Amino acid sequence: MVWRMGMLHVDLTVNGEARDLVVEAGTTLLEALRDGLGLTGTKKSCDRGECGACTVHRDGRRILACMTLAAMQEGRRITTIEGLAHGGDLHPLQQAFIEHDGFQCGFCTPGQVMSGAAMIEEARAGWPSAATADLAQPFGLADLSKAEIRERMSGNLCRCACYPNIVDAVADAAGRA
Amino acid sequence: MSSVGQATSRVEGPLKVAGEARYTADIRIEGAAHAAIVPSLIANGRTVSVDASAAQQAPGVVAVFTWRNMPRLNPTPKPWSHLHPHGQGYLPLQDDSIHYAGQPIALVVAATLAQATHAATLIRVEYEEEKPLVFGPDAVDEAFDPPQFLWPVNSSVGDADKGLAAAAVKIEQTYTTADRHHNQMEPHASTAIWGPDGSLTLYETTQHIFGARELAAIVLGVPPEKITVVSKFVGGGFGGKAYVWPHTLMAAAAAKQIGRAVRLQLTRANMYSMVGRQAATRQTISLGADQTGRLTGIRHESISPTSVFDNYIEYAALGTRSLWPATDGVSTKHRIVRVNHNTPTAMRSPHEALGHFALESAMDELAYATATDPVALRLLNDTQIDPHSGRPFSTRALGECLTQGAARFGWDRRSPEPRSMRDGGILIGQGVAAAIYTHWRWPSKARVTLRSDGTALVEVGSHEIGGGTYTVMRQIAADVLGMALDRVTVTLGDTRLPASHASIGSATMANAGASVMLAARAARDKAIELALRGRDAPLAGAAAEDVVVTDGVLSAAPTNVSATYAELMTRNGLQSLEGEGNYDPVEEANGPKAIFSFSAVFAEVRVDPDFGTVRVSRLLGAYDAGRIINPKTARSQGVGGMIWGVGQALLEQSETDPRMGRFVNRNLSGYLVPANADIPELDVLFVERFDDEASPLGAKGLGELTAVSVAPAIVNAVYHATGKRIRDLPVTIEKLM
Repeated sequence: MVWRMGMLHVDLTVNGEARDLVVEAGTTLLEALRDGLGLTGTKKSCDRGECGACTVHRDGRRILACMTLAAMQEGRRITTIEGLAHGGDLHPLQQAFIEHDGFQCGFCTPGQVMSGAAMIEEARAGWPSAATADLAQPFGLADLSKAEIRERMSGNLCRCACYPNIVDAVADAAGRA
Repeated sequence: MSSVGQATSRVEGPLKVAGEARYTADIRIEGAAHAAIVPSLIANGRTVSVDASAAQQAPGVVAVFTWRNMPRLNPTPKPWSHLHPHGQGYLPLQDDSIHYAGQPIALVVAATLAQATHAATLIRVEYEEEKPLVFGPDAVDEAFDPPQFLWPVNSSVGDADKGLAAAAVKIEQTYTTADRHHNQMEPHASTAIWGPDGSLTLYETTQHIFGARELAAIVLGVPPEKITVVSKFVGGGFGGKAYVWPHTLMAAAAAKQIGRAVRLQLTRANMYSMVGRQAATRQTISLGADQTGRLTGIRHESISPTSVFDNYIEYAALGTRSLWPATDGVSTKHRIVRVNHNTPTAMRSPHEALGHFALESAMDELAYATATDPVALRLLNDTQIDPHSGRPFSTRALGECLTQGAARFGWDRRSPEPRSMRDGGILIGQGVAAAIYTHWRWPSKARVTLRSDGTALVEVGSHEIGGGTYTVMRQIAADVLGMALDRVTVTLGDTRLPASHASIGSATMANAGASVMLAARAARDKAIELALRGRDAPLAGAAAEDVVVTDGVLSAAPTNVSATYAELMTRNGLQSLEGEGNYDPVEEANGPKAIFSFSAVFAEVRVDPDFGTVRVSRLLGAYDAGRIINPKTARSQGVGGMIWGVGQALLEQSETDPRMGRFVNRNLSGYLVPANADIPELDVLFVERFDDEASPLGAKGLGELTAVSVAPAIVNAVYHATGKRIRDLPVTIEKLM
């Protein structure tokens, strides 16, 4: 990362591609993705970490792009909704969202999908949640009940309120339908 | 197989799940400048000075507008109408007065959003402050009779007072609801681009492209034909994006002044001041009934706040005019109070969702007072004649909604006594409420083009706000044309398309959908004409009404001759066949039948008596919305509406500081909306009736109906669980302690 002409140059990987982002020190990752790289799939809704619409993956984990600065991403691997599908094939969770009607207006959907995809991996890796009954037992995908999914997806607001359909989509993609 | 009635997935789904659906702020305009608003910190008074000198020197700043240098705008037409849908009649940056907190007092335009946002913080404002008017306990004394703007302000059928005076049982209570904000996930945004010829293109977050165009034309002094409004995807509307708010007019005026495209997207905090909200209400209901619960008189009066410059009425007592008959009479009345907030506006579900809380809570109180089962009480008072107009209902399957809903919910296993159902220490309650919802009939035009490659294009100036317009219009056209769904493409959201109405009032399916149906019929009929009488007519001799089209192939029994649309066009040297649809219905009020949608909502709650926490454990919505075009998207509307009602019942309130006069919880951590973990499994039931008075499609309005009477069902369940009657929404913990 270097300063040049009052701007920061940040080297990072976005959707598998090496990028050199030129940003101001105060530019959020969200602004850098949307305005700098034209990746407008990541949405700005509350811009203060309350709604989840800007959820992206950093090194495989879900984060809120509005709550982190672009300048902090040197060497990081960022995946946005545009990079989730492989080739022409949608990610299984994207397909499940279509099948289960997990959206209406679609504005929160990129954040929901990114959050859900990372959440399934968290569950697979054995992470418990506030809904997990017994923390002493190892957690596995088989424990990913609807109550677990509801809890783990509650950082992503949906005002059209497709929550039950979102839960069904996540459960389906996690093999828990 | 007919494509109407099929639970098809949304056609735009692949775009939405991949982040490729472009919403207003996603559309990149080369060279566009960005604008940021400086909001007023006071709610009432004026600006003595606005010092923009530091902002003007800040990096990247192109211009700073205050009331002194903002171009003058033409006044909005009065009265308000659907064709001239101003959100607030007081225009931005035209004088030094301040009428609400958050009112724009300066607009900063800069090369980047960060620069505009930073420069906006450098503006120094000196205020002269006056005590703000707020909607408080004194409001009742200050309420006045407003001029009419949608329906008559008051109504009286028969003699309600007589029915109340003679009643064996009487319920008289006051119910209040809170100010609420739409909080669409997509903040309002506008990008204004002027052409060298004086034309204007507006990329808008709007549910009403043609209304936005008409209003912008008047206020900016530009002929409407020189304005194009584009809105391909809207990230949630809920009524709030059906009207033109100050930011759109400021962006357009500023762009013209600086000779450069301007983009203005509201911040989340901006959305609690200058784009409308659902007004709070204070409602008084009087119900009179005989010993059996049959209603003898109903009186419903509501007071709600408006701004100091507009007369907005929340018609909370509207539904009461037509839901239940009373043997002696029904009267309703609305008054309004001036406060220092912006003008309220329609929010899912305006009028009905507020009034039904009062009416259907009072009906529950009446059920207990007469020892009648709440479902039975409603069945007893059901009617097929509109009590207000005396006309028969076109269709009213409320009784079936109640009985089928009750059966599926397991209502017969409910023990009627409050506090009689428990799960360990948790109190369980079950409640029901019924609903009636206004049906709108509006004109709409559409065009359907059959093309010689065997595909069809549907063009209609409607909107995709989440209701599934792209999907259902395709189904309607494919059904009429006898084509496979994937051969039909739908274009929406551009004022260059055939003119349609606002996507509000749950009106899109019944009206815009009807125009698409008529356009598709016209196109199909032209093809049939070619088949019967065109060059080398393959079906010559057959009658037009005997021609059927399946998979794009026209045939007429008993002959085995057939031809495709494409063959007919090629044979006649045509590239395309165009059908125009012009749906121009009489207004509902002038028709022979009263047209409304109906529902019954059943709720179950679990209340922890120690902490006063209410968890919704089950909800069932039974809907009579006429014919269902797509059960999948319709079910989602039901689910979304019920959850919207959970917000109204338990969470949502925009709180005003009574001293400062401003909303204090201007974000999504202070203003609570339902989150995923708040919501259980929901059940949706459709009682389908083809209603040809409502629309040639047989469909009635659904989207807003689904958010009505969720709150009273939940509050009635809370009473059943706890024995405490809460008459003030939302039901927060302290009210149950």
